[in-house]
Amino acid sequence: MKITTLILIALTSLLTGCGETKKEIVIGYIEGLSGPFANVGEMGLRHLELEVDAVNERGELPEGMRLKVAPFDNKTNPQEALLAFRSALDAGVDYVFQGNSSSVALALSDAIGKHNQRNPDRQVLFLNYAAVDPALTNDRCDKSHFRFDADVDMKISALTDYMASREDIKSIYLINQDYSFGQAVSRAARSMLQEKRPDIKIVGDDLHPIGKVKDFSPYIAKIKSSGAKAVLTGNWGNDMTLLIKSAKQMGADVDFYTFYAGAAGGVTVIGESGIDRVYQITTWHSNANAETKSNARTYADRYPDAPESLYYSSIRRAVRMLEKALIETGSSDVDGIRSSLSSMTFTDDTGPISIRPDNHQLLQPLYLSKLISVEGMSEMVDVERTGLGFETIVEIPAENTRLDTTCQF
Amino acid sequence: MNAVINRSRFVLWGSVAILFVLLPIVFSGGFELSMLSQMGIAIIFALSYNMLLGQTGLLSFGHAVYFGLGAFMTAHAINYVHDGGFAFPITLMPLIGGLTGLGFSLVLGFVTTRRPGTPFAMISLGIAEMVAASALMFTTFFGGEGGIVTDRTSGGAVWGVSYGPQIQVYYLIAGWCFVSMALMFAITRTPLGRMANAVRDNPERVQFVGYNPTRVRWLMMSLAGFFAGIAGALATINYEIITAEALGLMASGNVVLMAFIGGIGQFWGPIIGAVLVTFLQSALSNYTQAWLLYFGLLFLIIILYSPGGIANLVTMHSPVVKAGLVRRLIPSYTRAVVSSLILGVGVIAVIELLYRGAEAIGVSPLVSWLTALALVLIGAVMLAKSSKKVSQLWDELSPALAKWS
Amino acid sequence: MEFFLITLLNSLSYGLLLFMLSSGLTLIFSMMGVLNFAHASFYMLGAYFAYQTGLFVGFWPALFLAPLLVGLVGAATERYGLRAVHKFGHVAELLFTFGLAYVIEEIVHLIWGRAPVDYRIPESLDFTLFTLYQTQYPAYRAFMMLVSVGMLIALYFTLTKTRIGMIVQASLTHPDMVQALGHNVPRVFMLVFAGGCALAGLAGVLGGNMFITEPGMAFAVGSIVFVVVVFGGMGSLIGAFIASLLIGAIQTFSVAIDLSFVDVVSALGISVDPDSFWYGGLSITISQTAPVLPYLLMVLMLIIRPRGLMGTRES
Repeated sequence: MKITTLILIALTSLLTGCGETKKEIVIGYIEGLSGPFANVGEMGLRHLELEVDAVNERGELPEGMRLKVAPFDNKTNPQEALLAFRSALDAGVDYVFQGNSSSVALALSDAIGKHNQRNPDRQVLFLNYAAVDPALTNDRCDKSHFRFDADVDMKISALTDYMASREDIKSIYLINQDYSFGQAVSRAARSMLQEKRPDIKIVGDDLHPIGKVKDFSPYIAKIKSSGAKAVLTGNWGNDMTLLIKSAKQMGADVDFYTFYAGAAGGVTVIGESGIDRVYQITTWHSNANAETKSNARTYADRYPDAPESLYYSSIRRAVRMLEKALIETGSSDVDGIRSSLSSMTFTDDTGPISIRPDNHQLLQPLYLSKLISVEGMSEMVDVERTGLGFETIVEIPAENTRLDTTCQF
Repeated sequence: MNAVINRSRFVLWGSVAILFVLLPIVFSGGFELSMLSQMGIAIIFALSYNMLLGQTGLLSFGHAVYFGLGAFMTAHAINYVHDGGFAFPITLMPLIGGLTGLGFSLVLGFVTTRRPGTPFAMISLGIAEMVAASALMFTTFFGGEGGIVTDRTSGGAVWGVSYGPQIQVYYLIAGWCFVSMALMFAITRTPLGRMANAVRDNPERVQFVGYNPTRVRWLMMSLAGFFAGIAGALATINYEIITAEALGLMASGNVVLMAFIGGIGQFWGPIIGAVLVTFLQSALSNYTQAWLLYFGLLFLIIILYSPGGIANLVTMHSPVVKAGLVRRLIPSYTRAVVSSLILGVGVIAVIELLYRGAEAIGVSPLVSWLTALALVLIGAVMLAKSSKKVSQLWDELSPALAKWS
Repeated sequence: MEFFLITLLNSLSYGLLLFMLSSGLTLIFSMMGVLNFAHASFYMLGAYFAYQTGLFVGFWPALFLAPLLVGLVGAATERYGLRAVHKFGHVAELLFTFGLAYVIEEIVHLIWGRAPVDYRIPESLDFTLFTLYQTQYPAYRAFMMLVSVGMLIALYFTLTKTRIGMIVQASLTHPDMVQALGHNVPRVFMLVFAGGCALAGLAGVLGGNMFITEPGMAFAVGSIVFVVVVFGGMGSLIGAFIASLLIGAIQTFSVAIDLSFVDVVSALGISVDPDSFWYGGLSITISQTAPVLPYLLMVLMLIIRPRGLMGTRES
């Protein structure tokens, strides 16, 4: 019986221990912590706890304030997320962290906006670390939402800039998952390539149902017969890894330009079949510079058993900028934090970054990197202990990622 | 046949109504209120599902299709009202959802209800797969990944009711839930409801009597679609957002679990199932990551040991109560409960140890594993013994109970 | 031509994998009348068992051990689960397997975690068998086909030439008669269930490293095998075989057709306004719908001919 009592005590303290005093600032981590995407949710939680512990260790917050993480399971479902948000409110959460699934992010952004409007004396901020739907900082923007990742359009803009500069790329094949994100990738890639390099031919533009394709070999056969040497894909998870594995097996000599090759488990599954042919566009990668390498090693030391490597620079930046805002305003007043964050500049491991006041999007350098074997290269950091890592191909300066916005707060 | 309204029934439904009114006074927290609203929606949905499974014998794996389509149509209707397209009170919006559900189930039901049993189950699964897949492709209507967002306060305030505060939404859902429950109960007492039972039990006999079983199934399915649509519309109003997940296979599977756990043999079985499942999904997930596993195990245990669901456990004991024999059951029941508690605690400890690891809880791995496994062993042995006692006792009692059941 | 040949080979290997999965399900379905929702979970277990045993003994022994283990799990499932539920009818049996699928998936989470495991194609099979025009054809795919065909032959002989096979075959079409003749039908049930699960496990061993081994893999193939079985018809292995190849071919070939309704009508001289409400729906190409076409086929088949392609009876 002892164990269950212990479990119960641990659990109840987890739930009810959220303090009344504003000495303790509660960050609600509302993510899918059960079900098929739970590994991604747990991985983000580890990132968040690492950063929050670092803030508390530094102890620079005013008046002895401390940060505290309270996880809530949203089951990666928008409606469940709203329910989780209610219990987060009951638990005294001031800052909501979420990122996996844009549909959840849109639902939360909308709900938090409505909540703030209906309860002026109980404001909540939404710090989004990974949901990349452009709508969040455009048509459906909210002044309480801040995005620390770069959105689809920013990433594609950077990616197509690079492709336009590569004279040897003559044709491109687009393959994406058939839902709003994949469709957005396909649309944006088409229009931007058309504008930047009208001579590049788009020889294929496939949309396939998300998570339904088991065998990608027919798509590879199609890519091969199109003669394309470069494939641009927004696919993530199995849809991405199966595509790349299948290409390797059929000996298709094409490069893959991806968004999520380095995300949870991706490199493990792609394995050697991706060496020198998989590119990714991200806000951070571990071999960007000496500082990013040391950060990646810190993470690996802290979590020796975790399957993943440091991935979300966005979580780190969100927590550190929140820390800075708390120190600068000297109080825990959420309104003050919002206006402090709105135009904050900050220096992180990849240099100066800043938040745009007009749509609350973080501007940061983007990296186009390539998967290589780092076996025997002691100065390079590998991903998920595979002996494979990313190396920078191009760094896109933060200011070049600024796009027009339709946002009006 | 009893009249639909008699005195005891009047008292029962009256107390349900009073309960609905009083609940938010006891549970007034934000989370609690949201959960109550969610339960109300789940009750309508699960009852509508049971019109198919329990009453007509149609096992559907695609019931969320009608829930979801009703919800999306309602979302568009509310947005249309918001943009000044036409004036329609939010209070009556569930009718739009219901009619949408009715429309789609009329069309789809026409082609799918010709065969009961496995063919029907497979058709419903196939249709659910197709609708779920197209929901992600047709972004104009389904809004893609972000879904369709609405503002439930669009209609403006009528007599001070704007549907801004959650409590008002709760009462809207409670009202619709009560009305739907009453209507669905009434349907079970109509000739159609009776014929549906007959179609479930013996379609050939129904045909001999001169009824068309296909038509009965079709009608029942259309009505079920109507109520599912109402539930969907209420979900739209409650969450102010509706996404493609609402009509997916997971949602369809969920309602099967609700109805079955509660019990498909009794009208009120799915109500228990809806309340319990909603509670477990929301509350349990706050405590443990393994909630899906517990949930699956609960489901398996119920199928293995009480396929009539929780409702069946209750009705099984009503003759015992009437015969005044409850006292004889208490000792062996206590033993069975205690031993299953020990077994349960042991199993939970094993699962949690696996999920979190002993270090995370802060106890020594060896001691905790040994304790957990010992609990499982002791519990299992005790349960095996006591359950044998219980079944012996039932055998002894059965002659005495015969006249009461 | 290159595209056609390669796609044909691919569709064949995919179809044969589907057949390996669905043959077991068909046997179980025809005999016990239960659509085993957990069948794909046994496929997943096959892949995980092969991965785990492969760590200790290597791929080749695992190829035999893993299906055996899956078969044992299947036998236990039938003996202690399904048989107990049997008396409550088909719906309860079906729902039991439905719940079992949940539980197996969660247990796999519990043991192997949620991320994909590194289950690889063995080095001895990781080479290019031949090159057709410029496309390489991996040896593992050929091996997969070989095993499927071998299994098909073995299954055929077991069913037609052995005593137990005769009983099983008789039970497929006349279950009541077999029971009346005094055979131990429950034990035959258990054997068939275990055998069917072992076949699914074998498919998992082969499919797990060909594609990916992760907890979602059961859900991903779960409904497609139903399509094969229902489409092929109850009680018919041949039907399942044809349906597997057909669905494999449909899924792989339709990927190549980039034709949409809008293209068709614009060829007829009618233009559709890209901003109109229906445009999104009408501009969907056949290749986009490829993976959902089988479900459409299944629904149509059930409506037009509920017994399926080669089925001998409806339920």
